[in-house]
Amino acid sequence: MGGLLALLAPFLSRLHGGKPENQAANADFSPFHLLYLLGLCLLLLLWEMQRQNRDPKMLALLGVLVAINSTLRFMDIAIPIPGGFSPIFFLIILTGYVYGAEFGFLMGALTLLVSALITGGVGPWLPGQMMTAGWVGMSAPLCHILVKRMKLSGSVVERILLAGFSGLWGLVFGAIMNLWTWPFFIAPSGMSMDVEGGWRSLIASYALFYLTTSLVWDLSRSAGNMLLIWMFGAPVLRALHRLKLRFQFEILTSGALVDDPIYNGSETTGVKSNVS
Amino acid sequence: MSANGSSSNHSGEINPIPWMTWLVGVLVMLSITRNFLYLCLIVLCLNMICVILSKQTNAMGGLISPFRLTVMITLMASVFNMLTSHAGETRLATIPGNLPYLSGAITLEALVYGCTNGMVLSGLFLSFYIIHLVLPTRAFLQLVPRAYHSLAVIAAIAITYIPSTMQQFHQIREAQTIRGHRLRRVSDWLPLLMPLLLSGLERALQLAEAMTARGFASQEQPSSPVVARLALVIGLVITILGLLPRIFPTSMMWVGESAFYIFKKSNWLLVAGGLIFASSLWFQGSHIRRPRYQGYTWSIRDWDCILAIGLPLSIFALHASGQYHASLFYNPYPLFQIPVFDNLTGISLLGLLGILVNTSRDVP
Amino acid sequence: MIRFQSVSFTYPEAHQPAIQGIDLHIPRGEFVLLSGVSGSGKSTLLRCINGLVPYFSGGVIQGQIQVAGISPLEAGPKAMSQVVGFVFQDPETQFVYERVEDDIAFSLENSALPSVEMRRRVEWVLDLLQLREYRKRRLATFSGGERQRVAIAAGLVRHPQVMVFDEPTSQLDPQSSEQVLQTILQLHRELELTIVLSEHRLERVLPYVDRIVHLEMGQPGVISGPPQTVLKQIDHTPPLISLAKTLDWQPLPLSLDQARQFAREARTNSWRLPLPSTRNPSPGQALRSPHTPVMQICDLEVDIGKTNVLRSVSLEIYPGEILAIIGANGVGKTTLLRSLVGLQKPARGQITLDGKPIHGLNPATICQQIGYLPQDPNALLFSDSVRAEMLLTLKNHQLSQHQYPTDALLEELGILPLAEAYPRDLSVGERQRAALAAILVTLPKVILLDEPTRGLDYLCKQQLTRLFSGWREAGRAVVIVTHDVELVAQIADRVALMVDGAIKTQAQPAEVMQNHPEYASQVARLFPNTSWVTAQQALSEMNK
Repeated sequence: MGGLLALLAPFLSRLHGGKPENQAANADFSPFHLLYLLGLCLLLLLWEMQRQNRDPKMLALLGVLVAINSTLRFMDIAIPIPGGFSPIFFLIILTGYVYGAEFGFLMGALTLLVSALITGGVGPWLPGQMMTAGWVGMSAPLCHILVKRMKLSGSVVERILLAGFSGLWGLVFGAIMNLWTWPFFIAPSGMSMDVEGGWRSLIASYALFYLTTSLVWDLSRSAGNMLLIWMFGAPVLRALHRLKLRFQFEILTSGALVDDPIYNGSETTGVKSNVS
Repeated sequence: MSANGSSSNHSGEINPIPWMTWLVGVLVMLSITRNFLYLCLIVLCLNMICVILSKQTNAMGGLISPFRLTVMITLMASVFNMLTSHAGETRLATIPGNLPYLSGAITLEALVYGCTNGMVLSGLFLSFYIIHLVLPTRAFLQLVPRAYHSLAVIAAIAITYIPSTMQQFHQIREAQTIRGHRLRRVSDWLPLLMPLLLSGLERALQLAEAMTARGFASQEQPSSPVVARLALVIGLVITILGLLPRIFPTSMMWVGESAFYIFKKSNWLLVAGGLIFASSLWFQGSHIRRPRYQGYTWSIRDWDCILAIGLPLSIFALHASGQYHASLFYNPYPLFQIPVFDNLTGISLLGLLGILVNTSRDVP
Repeated sequence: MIRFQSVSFTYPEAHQPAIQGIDLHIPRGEFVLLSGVSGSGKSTLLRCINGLVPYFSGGVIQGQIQVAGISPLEAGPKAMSQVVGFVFQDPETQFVYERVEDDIAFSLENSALPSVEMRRRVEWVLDLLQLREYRKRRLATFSGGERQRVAIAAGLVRHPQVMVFDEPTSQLDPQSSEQVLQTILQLHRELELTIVLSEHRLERVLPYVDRIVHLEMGQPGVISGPPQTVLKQIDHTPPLISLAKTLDWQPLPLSLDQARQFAREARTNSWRLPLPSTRNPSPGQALRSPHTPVMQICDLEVDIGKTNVLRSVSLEIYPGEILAIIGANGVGKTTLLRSLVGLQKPARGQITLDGKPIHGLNPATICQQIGYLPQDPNALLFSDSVRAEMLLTLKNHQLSQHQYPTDALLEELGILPLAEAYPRDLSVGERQRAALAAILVTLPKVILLDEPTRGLDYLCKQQLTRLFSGWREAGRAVVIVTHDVELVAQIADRVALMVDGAIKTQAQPAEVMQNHPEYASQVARLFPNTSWVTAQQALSEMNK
């Protein structure tokens, strides 16, 4: 329940981020306010996502996967591939797809946090990155619902769907990140753009801005994502599914995770495991 | 990786609290002032601290030296602002034509403003980097509020397993090479990625087993009372309300008199919202037991630190309301002029360097 | 202290129970060795003690268990962690925090102790295990043995009454293993803990244990009793024990010291002795007539970073011969192997394969002719079936399946029934053979093996040595880098001893073991000044 509200609020904050030009010159809205709001939203989401989990299997799995993802990110820095290509989204999407929304969100947010902690590259862009990457993971199970309805598990269409999904996010991620880092670069006062303009002109100007600056960057990210999922998605998904049994997760629609059996207290009868 | 330059005396670790106080102080200062002379000074101080600390702690270097990064960011910001914002009266040049964002005058004010922004950004980055150089990860994770204990454990695990993951990757590379694998196309990355992933999953299972054997609780925590969760959301909503007046000043017109009242108090709304949020988190975290293993002892150096940051901060605060208001809230628009520079304030900024006092015991 | 009554357990999705009808009693303060081949249920039994089975693993359990008065089946692992400390096999995957002190404290954070008490206990355990000067160091900089000691510390810090060790040394080299075992002994002596240890290399701990509990594969129940009694009933025992059993030495000597008296007598008297079984291949039966070497290494020098790891190594590898390379840790054995396949570029010197230098060739190309089994076969396996792994290797080398049939190789390795199995689900021994299948599918002439017997039980080792003999007879060159002197005694034709980055001696095993007692097998140490290195040899010689 709280999760739904938490979902809405960050959207608002995103729009606010696009608003700075709409102010008069004496307004005091600064990027720091945005950061504050963003921070709160992020904290809320993080809280919601980890609320139900203290199972060591979950924590260990997330920990190790985040470690792998962060290592991938370093390799991305070491190997110069042009553009915004980042191999981290691949795992974020797939794990979110297989293990649920909460897992996906935490995977995304924590990958960025841990890699920032390791390299010392913590900056004002971090909360935004964490949140958006978290959304990527959180929304991946949506594909799952679609696939299940149409009973397409294991087929090529599944791969296409996931690949397309990742491609879309490649672009959207860039768009959202721009929205958030933009206020840091642009003076809130002194923009000669449409100070009294309405919503529409604002979005138009933003679209132009996006096209001219970061589209190319984001296209490479998008293409990279799609490529990765297309090529590697199937075996990785198989591996994740296989291990899912061992971790005995059960995906319910709200992403709750169920732990394994509990001894029923009797001394001589057996304990049945509830393998899903 | 974060530095391991902690002291070898028995009083234990580097106390993270004075450092965090310093960080907060620097952040506040960076966010308040727009006077580029002050900012210049701040950023230079931070750079100096960075350089000295890097030498002291022999930390793994970042990918770019902090100074170059500063210059890069500042440059980028200024250029960007120059090209896109065309307010101001001192024209340097003009881009002709009708390009959507770009055409218009290039003004000095825009340059200055961009520069300032860049310096603020680099200041932010540098201050975090300095903390990273000094504090071990464990100190960070202890500071995480109890409500997020699980996340802290995950982050700790991730950090612990990064070196072995990298090592494993090298092993896998070699192992695949000896069965004939060559890295020619993109699809050749699969044999490198898959064993890494599979080993990772298996290791996670083993780690979970070890954690369970050491008594890590695996029951679900009792679900928090609905009130507390609502309080989180309410806190957020109030914060947003506090921000609205800043964003829609004009649309407040039609809401009426009471709106003006809210507008004036918007700052308080922000703070109130944050407080409600924080207290709800604290409450919900309080039933997670996490006895603190590491207690920190405060030494005289720690107090020196607090002083070092307190001084410039308080001077800033005084200025915010006093006669030097203009020097802090300097605005290059509409017409560029050299900002007022108060010598006292300037010198007090050097107090930032005082933090180095706290680190001199790290020299091995 | 520990009591099992009619305990049976089946893992989820398994067809047969892992353990059946276990009745066991371990009194307080005993040092117990748990033995049995891989797959006989040792790990399961150990995990019953602290509740990991069934709480962590799932499955169906029957029977009653009592540990220090508490039933793990009712209490669960969290409560049992106060009574039972558990140390696992893999030194890399037991830690949560990066630094020693933090990770030890992690165990305590899960208890309800006040922080003063926590600090006191951490200090105590650091002192006990002599880890004090390492307390702030990062675990990543530690060796496997040191890491296991930290794991032991983490288990001890809760003041348990029982310490359980699940093959703690099987991933370690002999030096580290010795370190860890000495630590365990120290714990037993000083703290009077009840210790349950499962170990493949029985000879390391036999003299110290109070009781052996043996699990026989596929049979219900355990054999439990004092060492001498139980050892008589087990098939797979260390060479010394096998020898002693055959010669009927009473009371059964458990260590070399205990056996020396018997050995002296055996040599002076000539008894009628039962003939040795001819099952095992006898060593030293090289087919080596003057063949030309298939690989030649001349004056090889390798630098890694700034350190000079290999200095002027010269060696020849002949077909139809098993060469063992031995030496202390860090002396450059693995580097030598890696240089042979081109993974490590030499600073000076030359390596030739079939007369042609390998310098400049891609390791992937070289490996079509040379099969290299790395220490950890897990780094190789990721396909969906064993056969798929083999096909992948063929595809990498762009070879066709028709020229290199997979079934024959699988048959030779004895894993044909596992052809479609998922490799990572297999047992340790089976996984190793699956990895071998993947590597040997190109029918290489030279086979390099890096520590192939680490973590294997005696049965697996026997199967492996049979495999090696088969290769030798087929005319392939086999090079084994190993710490396992018993393996060397059993199968090697020639031994190269490396010291300080160079080869100090090359000779037959018997000669090397005579001159370097630290690398001598049990039998060689028992009968110095003879050329006997294995039990079979000793028996056959004594029979004459």
